[in-house]
Amino acid sequence: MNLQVRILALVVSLLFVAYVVWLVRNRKLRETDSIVWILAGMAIFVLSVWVKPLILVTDLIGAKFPVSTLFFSGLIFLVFISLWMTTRISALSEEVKELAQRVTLMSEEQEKE
Amino acid sequence: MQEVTKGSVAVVMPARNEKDSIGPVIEAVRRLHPDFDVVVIDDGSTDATPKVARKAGARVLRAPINLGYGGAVQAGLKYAHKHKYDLVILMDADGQHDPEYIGKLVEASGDHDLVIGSRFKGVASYRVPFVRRLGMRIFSGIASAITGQNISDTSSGFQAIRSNVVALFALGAYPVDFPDADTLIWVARHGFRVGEVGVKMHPRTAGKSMISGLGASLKYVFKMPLSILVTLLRIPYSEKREGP
Repeated sequence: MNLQVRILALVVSLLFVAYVVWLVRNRKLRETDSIVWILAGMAIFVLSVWVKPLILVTDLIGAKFPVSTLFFSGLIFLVFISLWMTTRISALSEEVKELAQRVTLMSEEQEKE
Repeated sequence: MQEVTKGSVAVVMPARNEKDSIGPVIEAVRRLHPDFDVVVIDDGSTDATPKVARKAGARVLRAPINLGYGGAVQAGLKYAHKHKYDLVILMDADGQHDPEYIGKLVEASGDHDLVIGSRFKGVASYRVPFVRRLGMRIFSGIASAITGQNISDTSSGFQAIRSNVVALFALGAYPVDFPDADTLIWVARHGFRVGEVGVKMHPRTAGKSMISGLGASLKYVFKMPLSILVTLLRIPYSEKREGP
């Protein structure tokens, strides 16, 4: 990998982690929910400084360029994280429904007042 | 509040913006069955539906947000479970379900735990769009094969549900959108007896259906096979020794 790409990855990963920390600071993102993103940003950071593991994996899976390995693993990561997010949405929807039904059952007593 | 006595029946009616049709439906139910409680689940109406319903003599529960058809029905079933009703009659507020047939459903609930008011059994009356009808045929066939009972109308929202099945729906899961063959299979897998009686259904007189459009039909066709499959993969509560 040439120097430009590495510098770009370095800068982007630092900005990304900074942005995530900023979101947590402003309570737009919970600490627990931020961990996976901070880890992802740090992984990019580490790989842009220390390329060896990336090249090793590239040879192992038979890819031509380290960048392809990066793209491939990035894609897998995103697919799984969006699936996981969808399960979170399902769980939240279920909780909202449950709460709304409780409120619905309580509405009868309220109307009587 | 009046104490609920043994042998009590609740008529659960989910409704959204049905001010023009709900009044006569409730009045007809109360005229035919004065001892039944009518419980309307108002699912986010923006018109006078709750007022009209209350005036006609129903108990009205109002959802704070849109629950959707299944969510509203489940809220009604939770109410019935909480107040220990022996039987729930589930019917639409739009006038499509004829209150004259409630008696038939109640009678059939004597030896069934869930009775479906089928629009395809005997009393022919009502035309369904082709795609939907085809879907209904297929899913009825699957439901009949799996439950071992002759079911012709899986998507009917005109049902009699006994307290044991009410508990299953109230304490466990109930589909949030449109309960269909999947739900009946789930009920049958718990050893409950599913039955069917023919009912007459009218075309709606006013208002808008809660299920409409091509999107809904497509969703139905794709969602139902998946839903049936996962229902078969799930373990009924009794075997897990938990839940209802």
